[in-house]
Amino acid sequence: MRHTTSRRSAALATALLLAWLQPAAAQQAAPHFPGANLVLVGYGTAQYSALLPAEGGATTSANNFTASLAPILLFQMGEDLLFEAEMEFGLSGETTTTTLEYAQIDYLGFESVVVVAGKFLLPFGLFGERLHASWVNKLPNAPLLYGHAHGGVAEAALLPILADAGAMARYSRPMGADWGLDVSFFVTQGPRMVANEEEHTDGGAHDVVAFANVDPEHDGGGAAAAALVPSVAFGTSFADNNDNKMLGARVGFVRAPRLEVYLSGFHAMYDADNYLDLTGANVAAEVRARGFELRSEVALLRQEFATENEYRTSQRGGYYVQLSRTFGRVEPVARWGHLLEEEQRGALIQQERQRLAVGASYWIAPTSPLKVMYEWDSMDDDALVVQWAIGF
Amino acid sequence: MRNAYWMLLAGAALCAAPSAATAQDPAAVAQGAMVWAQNCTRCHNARASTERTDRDWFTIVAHMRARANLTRSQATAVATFLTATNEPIAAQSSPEKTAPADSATAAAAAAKVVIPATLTPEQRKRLLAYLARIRQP
Repeated sequence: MRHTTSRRSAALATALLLAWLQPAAAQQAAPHFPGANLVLVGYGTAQYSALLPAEGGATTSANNFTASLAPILLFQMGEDLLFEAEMEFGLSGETTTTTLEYAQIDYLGFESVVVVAGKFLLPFGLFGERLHASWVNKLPNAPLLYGHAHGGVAEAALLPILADAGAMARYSRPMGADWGLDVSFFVTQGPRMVANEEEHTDGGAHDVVAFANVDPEHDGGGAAAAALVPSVAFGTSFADNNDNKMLGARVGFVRAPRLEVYLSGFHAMYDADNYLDLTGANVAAEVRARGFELRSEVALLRQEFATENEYRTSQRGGYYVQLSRTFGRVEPVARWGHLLEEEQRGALIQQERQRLAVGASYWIAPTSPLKVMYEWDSMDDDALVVQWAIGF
Repeated sequence: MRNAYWMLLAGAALCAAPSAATAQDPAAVAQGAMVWAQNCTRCHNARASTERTDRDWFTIVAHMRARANLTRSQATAVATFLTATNEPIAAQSSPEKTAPADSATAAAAAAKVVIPATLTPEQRKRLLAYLARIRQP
């Protein structure tokens, strides 16, 4: 009897000891994140570009070597907190340009929601937020909708790649084996009207201004009409010019990895008096089948502006379509971009512009493409660009 | 009564065992491989899991969770997969020299993913199928 009691006591003590040790044992075995960690990732480019004057064009040929670096700093504290920031260093003219593309704190403690605060890439469309990194982008420059290219020259377009300061919540919900819904909602400082002389204050390497896209050489009356529509800057001033904040959202339906469809939009007042509306809308889609990948975005920008005696509205739009396929290490790519003409009472607000780019990447490594592109542009010189990018 | 004590002991021992989410748990690794293959390659080529240490992968996956709208469970699954398959490939010759037996194994070699020995044949087959499907130049 004493022996049995002793054995029971030993078993009970062992059970209690094992139960007490359970959290520590599980902690050792589970793949949880230990403590704090600092990681440097990012990407860089080396590029050669040659502008080839169109027949009868006024411009002269130019060819340049350039380079860029975009380090991304990640600092994780425990499992739930992450700080991430991307700098961009580029060469432009006689200067080295520096841009803080984003600097954000992410709270990752929820199952389905990530809370973000700081300056971040806005979830408007797909290219700006997810695809513009030079080792991810399949061509050396941005599609015609967006006026920003790593290692390239800033250019007039419908919109810049949007980044702004504020807060954001990102929600995701898997539905079944491969379907998913993701929703991102943000409130940010918002755009502001800028005087023409303020444009390109960052040296031109990071185009943050939406232009009335008219080339005065191509349309005598266009420049005057375009001057009516003020340029708008995003993410360039952190002293708000009005009481209004920009609200925006993106809703995505994903059947990974074959199909993705995203609807996004934003709205804000951009003048100091809170009178003038700026609204953006975007539909983006990606399809993958039989080794092909099709990416496309359609964007519309609706901007109110004031003339001497009335309020008017400009609606500018455009789209791009990109098709690619991998054959071993080689990936041919073609991209077509189109900005639609916008005319008001005989005055040209946005001139029609078309651009066709064909090229190919040779994947030296999964994160290092050597890209060659030839591009025809209805408003500019043709361009030959060779870009070597690397992600790290 | 004595059986109850031993059941208690067995239960406590089970509690003390590694959780289902251990880095080498075959089901978790296979689940992570699926999430990884379905989501990471939507935007970019798959990176070799051997590129980074466990600690780095946890942080990089957290970064990508925010960018790609993944749930916490999906991100954990991807981190589990990457940290389970990032052991250095011991004395492995280049894929060209080893002449892999089939395209799926070639995909695993090209992706520099170490197939955990703990996987069942079915899980191994599924993982190789995922690897064969992903974009990998």
